[in-house]
Amino acid sequence: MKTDSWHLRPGFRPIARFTEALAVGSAAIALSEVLGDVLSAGNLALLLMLAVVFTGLRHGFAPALTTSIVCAVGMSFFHAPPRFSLLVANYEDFVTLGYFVLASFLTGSLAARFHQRYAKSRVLADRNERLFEVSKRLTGAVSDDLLVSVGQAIGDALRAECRLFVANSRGTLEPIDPNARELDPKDLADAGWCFTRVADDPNLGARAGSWVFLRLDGHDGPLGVMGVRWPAGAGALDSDQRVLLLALREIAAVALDRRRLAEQIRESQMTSERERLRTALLSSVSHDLRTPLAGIIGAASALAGLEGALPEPARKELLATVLSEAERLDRFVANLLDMTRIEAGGPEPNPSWCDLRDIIADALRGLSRVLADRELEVDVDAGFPMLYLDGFLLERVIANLLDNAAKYSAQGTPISISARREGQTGVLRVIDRGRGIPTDQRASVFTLFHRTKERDRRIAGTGLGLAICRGLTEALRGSIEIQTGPGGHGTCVEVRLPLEHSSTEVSAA
Amino acid sequence: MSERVRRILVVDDEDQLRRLLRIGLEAHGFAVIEATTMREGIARCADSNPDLVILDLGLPDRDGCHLIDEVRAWSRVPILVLSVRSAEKDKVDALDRGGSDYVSKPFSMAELLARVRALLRDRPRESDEISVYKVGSVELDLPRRRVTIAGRVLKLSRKEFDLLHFLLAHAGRVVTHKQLLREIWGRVHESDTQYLRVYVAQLREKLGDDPARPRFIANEPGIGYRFIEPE
Repeated sequence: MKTDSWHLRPGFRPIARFTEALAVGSAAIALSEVLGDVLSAGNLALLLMLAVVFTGLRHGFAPALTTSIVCAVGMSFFHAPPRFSLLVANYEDFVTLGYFVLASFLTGSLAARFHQRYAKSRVLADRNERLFEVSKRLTGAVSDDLLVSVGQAIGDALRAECRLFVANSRGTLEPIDPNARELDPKDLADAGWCFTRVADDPNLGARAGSWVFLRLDGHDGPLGVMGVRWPAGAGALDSDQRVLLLALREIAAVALDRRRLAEQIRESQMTSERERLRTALLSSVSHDLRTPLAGIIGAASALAGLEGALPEPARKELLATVLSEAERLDRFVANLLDMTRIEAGGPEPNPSWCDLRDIIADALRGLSRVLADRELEVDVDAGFPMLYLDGFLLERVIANLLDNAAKYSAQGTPISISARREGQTGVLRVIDRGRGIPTDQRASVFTLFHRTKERDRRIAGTGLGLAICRGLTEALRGSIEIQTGPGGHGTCVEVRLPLEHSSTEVSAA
Repeated sequence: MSERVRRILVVDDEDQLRRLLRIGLEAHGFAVIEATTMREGIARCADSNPDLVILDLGLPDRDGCHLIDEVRAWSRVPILVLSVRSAEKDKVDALDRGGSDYVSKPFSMAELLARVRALLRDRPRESDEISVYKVGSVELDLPRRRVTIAGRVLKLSRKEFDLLHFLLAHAGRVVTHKQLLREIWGRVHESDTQYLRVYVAQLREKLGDDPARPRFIANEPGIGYRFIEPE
């Protein structure tokens, strides 16, 4: 902003203007005295006229008039006979002087008007430039960071300090910029009052050095407050600054409105995602609770009603059904609980020293019936270190992977679980000899309620298992991935865990 | 074991569970006394002098742990704690306060009965009254500091020997990490579970135990270890 170009000196005090007007007039007279012998009287008059126009352009009408009077007096004193007297003897000279005063009056006022227009257009251009600067920031403003920069841009544009406050859901004001220095309680109260009052009538006559608050109204009502403070010593607001301030307020209001809309969109997206999950959960719950319950109720009612008629092997089989279905139900409930914890932002791991072999044993213990007819190969490297992690979370991961392996591979086929150390990573693999998972589905199987597509049969899965495995593995700061089993058959699920805290060593006990 | 019928006090607020425990325990020759609140439990404990208490930690009036505190002030009756899975902190707390063992709900009746029997087995008050422990194929001779497994002599370090000794002295019962660390490494190392993991792994290796399918030392996740008693 080139406000200090020579055309416009808004900061000039009136005395300085008139001093300059006098000086310019005197200089012109002095020059005309020097050039008096060379130039004709008409040209000398034009020279003086030039001084009047110059002052008019620089300082407006009144200083121009001053210069013209100085020049007229100087002309009558130095040039019009009798010289060195203010008397004008010659009628011609008197007329010339009269014309000069009139002409300088007119040109001075023209120049002054030009000066005014120019100054005005500079102000306008300046204001537009500042507004543009602020709106440029606004285009991207949705997050709080950008709103902070909009606030700063507004402050720059006003040459003042600017704070934006946004009303939260409880209706109290919060600063957009969390790093900004806190306002005085009194100023905060003022801001709050400005936000709640019915008529919005900003007190723009406030003294420099104290806060002025303006309410920011969005489409559906007030959204926040803009606080502005000019540095001490700044003059009262003129009408241009007032217009600029009000325009900036509109921009700030638009910025807050946009933020509110973005939040609404995000919320509605989250709501619809939650809705989708809830529907999927309900259908899963109703199916996965009912299936084992049907088995339990059926078997138990048969036992209760037909006891006398049932041969011993049938009775035992029914009892086994009750037990295995009840255990399945128990696993499902455990998974639901895990999922709830993951959905609630992930479980807080509670690490301690664990032996992976113990964790595998715990997982196997809960699945003894599921894995009863399986040949299970457990292969943990002799050098595999003690792990410093939440053993319960890892046990849930391994149990779910083994349960899945049993579900998605034919009865009687072997399942293996192995663990190796690879540098600073523990690599755990659960391998089955099932159909495997197509490459294009390997990423999506980890999403909640996903089931691999099977044309002919529906496998009694819940769509929870792998989503839980991923959630819990992430809580353990590890990663999980589906691969093809060895020899291109079956599924291999690989869990990678960081080992930086774990060790094989134990200090002298 | 004496001829008299052993009496078991069941403190649980859930009717279903009390009924189940009554049926299961009575079928195996125990007499069952029931209480539904902590207050009632403490009263029955005092007036009926049971041989064992089965205590559900999720009692409505106050946390079951308070019952342990109260009863332990004047009685050494074994207390078997029932608690849901994933409440390991509560179980450890209950065991530290003087609970004798625990079973996670949902449990199988066989598991519960095994715990009850292990707790009711007559055992000497002080472990040093006994000099030779024999659990299954493992035999520990305290005066000679010798351990054999199926007759084969094992070379154990001092700490490994102490560890096995403590586990055998409590065979069939859970011992918490804290108890083991305090007993063998001292109070200062009460929370250094890493020592324990390493020594247990070494001991298992010498016993020829498969940690993934243990025959001798079972891990009690988040709580401690249990030396498995053969059926």
